[in-house]
Amino acid sequence: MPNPAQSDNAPSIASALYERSGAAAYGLSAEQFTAIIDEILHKHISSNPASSAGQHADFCSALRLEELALARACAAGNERAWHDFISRYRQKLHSMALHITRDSAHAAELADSLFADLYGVNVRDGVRNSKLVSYTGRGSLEGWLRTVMAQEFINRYRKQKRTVSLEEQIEEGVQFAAPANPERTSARVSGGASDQHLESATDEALAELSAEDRFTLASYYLDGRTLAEIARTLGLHESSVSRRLDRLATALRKRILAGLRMRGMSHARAAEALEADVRDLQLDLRSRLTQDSSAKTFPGSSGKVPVQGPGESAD
Amino acid sequence: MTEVPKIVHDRLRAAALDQGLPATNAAEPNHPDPDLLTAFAEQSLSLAERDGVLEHLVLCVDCRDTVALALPAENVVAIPISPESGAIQAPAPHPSKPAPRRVFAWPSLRWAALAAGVVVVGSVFLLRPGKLNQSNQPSASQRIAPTKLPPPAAASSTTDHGAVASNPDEANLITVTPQSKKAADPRFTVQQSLAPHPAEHAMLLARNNKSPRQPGGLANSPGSTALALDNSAGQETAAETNRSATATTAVSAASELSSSPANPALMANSDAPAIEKAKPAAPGTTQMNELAPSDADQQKETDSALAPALRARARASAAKLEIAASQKSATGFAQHDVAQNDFAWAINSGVLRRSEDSGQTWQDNLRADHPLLCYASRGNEIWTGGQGGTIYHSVDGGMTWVQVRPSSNGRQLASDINRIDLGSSNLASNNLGSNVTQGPAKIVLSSGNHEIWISVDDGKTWEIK
Repeated sequence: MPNPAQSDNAPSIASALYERSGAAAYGLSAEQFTAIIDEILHKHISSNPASSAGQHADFCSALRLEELALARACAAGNERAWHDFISRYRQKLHSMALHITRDSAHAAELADSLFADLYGVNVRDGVRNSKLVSYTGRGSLEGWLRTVMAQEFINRYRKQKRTVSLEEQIEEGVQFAAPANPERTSARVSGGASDQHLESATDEALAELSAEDRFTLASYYLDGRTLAEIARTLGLHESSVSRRLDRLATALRKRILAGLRMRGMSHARAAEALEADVRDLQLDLRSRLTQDSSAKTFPGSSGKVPVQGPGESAD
Repeated sequence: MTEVPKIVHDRLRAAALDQGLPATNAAEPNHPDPDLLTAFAEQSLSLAERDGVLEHLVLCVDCRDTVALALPAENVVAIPISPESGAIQAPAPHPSKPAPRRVFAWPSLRWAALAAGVVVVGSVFLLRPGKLNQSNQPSASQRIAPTKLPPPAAASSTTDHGAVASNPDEANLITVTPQSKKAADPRFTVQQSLAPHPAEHAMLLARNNKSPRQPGGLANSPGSTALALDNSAGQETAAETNRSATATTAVSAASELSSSPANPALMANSDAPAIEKAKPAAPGTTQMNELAPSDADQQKETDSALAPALRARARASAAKLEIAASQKSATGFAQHDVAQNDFAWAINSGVLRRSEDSGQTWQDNLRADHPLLCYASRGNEIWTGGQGGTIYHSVDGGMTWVQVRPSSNGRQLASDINRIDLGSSNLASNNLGSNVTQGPAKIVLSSGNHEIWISVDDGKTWEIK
């Protein structure tokens, strides 16, 4: 067990954490709280055998102890904890839901549903199954509530989309895919060599980027997120994201061109291949994928189009 | 913004689809749990964990959407206000694709700027080769002096509008000139070529009130207060200024401003400086004694140049500031203040509102998750608090806001904030009380559960009393 017991001063650390958390006010004993901390350490740190007692202590001190105690005490059914939780977060839950759904009726439904999950309406073996048990204090409780609510909203939207009837889709103006055009497919196959070069060169160029750079590209170009949203997600200034996107666009173009030249293409031909609108080359696959309601986008991600890459269209 | 090749879009999509991640579910082991996503969004993960989450987010559109949807409400950021109409602008819609590249975008213009620079440097070399070979480069003031300066004896005279003296302190003149008038002011082109001086920066900060040491809307330096002494008090101070003994750099700068031929009109248009300078001019103060004799002569001219209307306006603004400083109640529209930028603030129905025209029209500035209850301003620095421990801080007059989460010994402030007081951790004493401070910011929050939260380091750490 990755208990702070690995170090000599573990008891003092545990008692300090317990004192900081204010868990006693919510009826959690020191042993109960230590068990909660152990569980969190086990979940997040124990996978790394090289982690030291010092790292454990640092990890624990960075936890949102007070909010962790509140959440776990609520999950345990402490009345005072629930009183505090409701006074702090009940109104916020509705504000969050309204921010996510942008519709008051759906917001009320979403907030009430989440509140029920947090309270734990499902009883198993005589114990309420509260969602608050999964809160581990890595981030703020308010942020965690927002995240859980956003996940719930996405899942609801997907379920709702799966059950939309064809009549409703037609009323909404959904266009259904035409059958695959064999001529276009054959043309696609004939130009496959240069396309494959282009794909592999692009994949190489993307693989050289950092995860944060690829996340920035995906958020901006695939999801249609604004610079401000990306900046807030990454903790950067909006102008930094703008400069980064400019830099990435330039660097990617250069790297892809260099990759194509390494594969034997002339500079002119490489530039021509890069400028080709690849969307024309994969219409059949795009059409096929857009019928898959499970991959559809949901409100708030306007630029997202669930399509397959050109590499998938050859089959 | 530069567009990425379209193939990049498709390969990014293809990578996500190749991964074939199942639907988001908190219990799904293939996705980060909400705890991890929350910690990622709040920048509290270790680098290794953050990279791991980012790698997943690149491939998982559901988790990207979750993170984006879970961002706090955007209204934390100040609502943009149209400079022309004053109307609140609607937030920009999410762009489905990048904005088209502009012809005059910076990447294009920078080459033009570089070429222009080369041409200018080349022409200097061609036209004045002899001057450049001289061993001692003339100083900025020396270069300008032949065209602008009167004899050296007059260089320190405040009646010399084009004076650019070798004394570095007098380089502060540039900081007093309102930017909107720079082009019309013949001094501007001269002063612009002067080397920067620390004192100049100090004056610039004093004027813009961007230093955290400066109280809201009030200039602390003796020099900057001295100019407007008679504006607020309405006294004929020409005789008093003759008794001034020492000249500060700010005084000389202020005197230069007021004595310029263009300055009467210029001063009439600058309400904010009038307000900030008018305040410390309490009757009976002896600040005038600090003026140098040479500056006192110019002060006479200042007095004669200032229109009576300006004085009345300054007095009215000063009176408004006095009222605002005394009215720091918790709720209602009665709470307003005049910041250094001539902004007036008020809280109405839980929303912080701002007026740029001394209360004639009001615009919503900050609407938080919870209703706001109180605020306190100090120049461009604004603090506002509300229900549930909500507190926001702006250092640029409400253009951008940062949410502050006060905590002490692991305990977070969660009760309503009924009152905010801004003070100084080392000195807070003048004729306006706590609204006028010096030294590091001291923020005192009064919460609904009768606790007092104090921070003496601009809100970085807090202590409960």
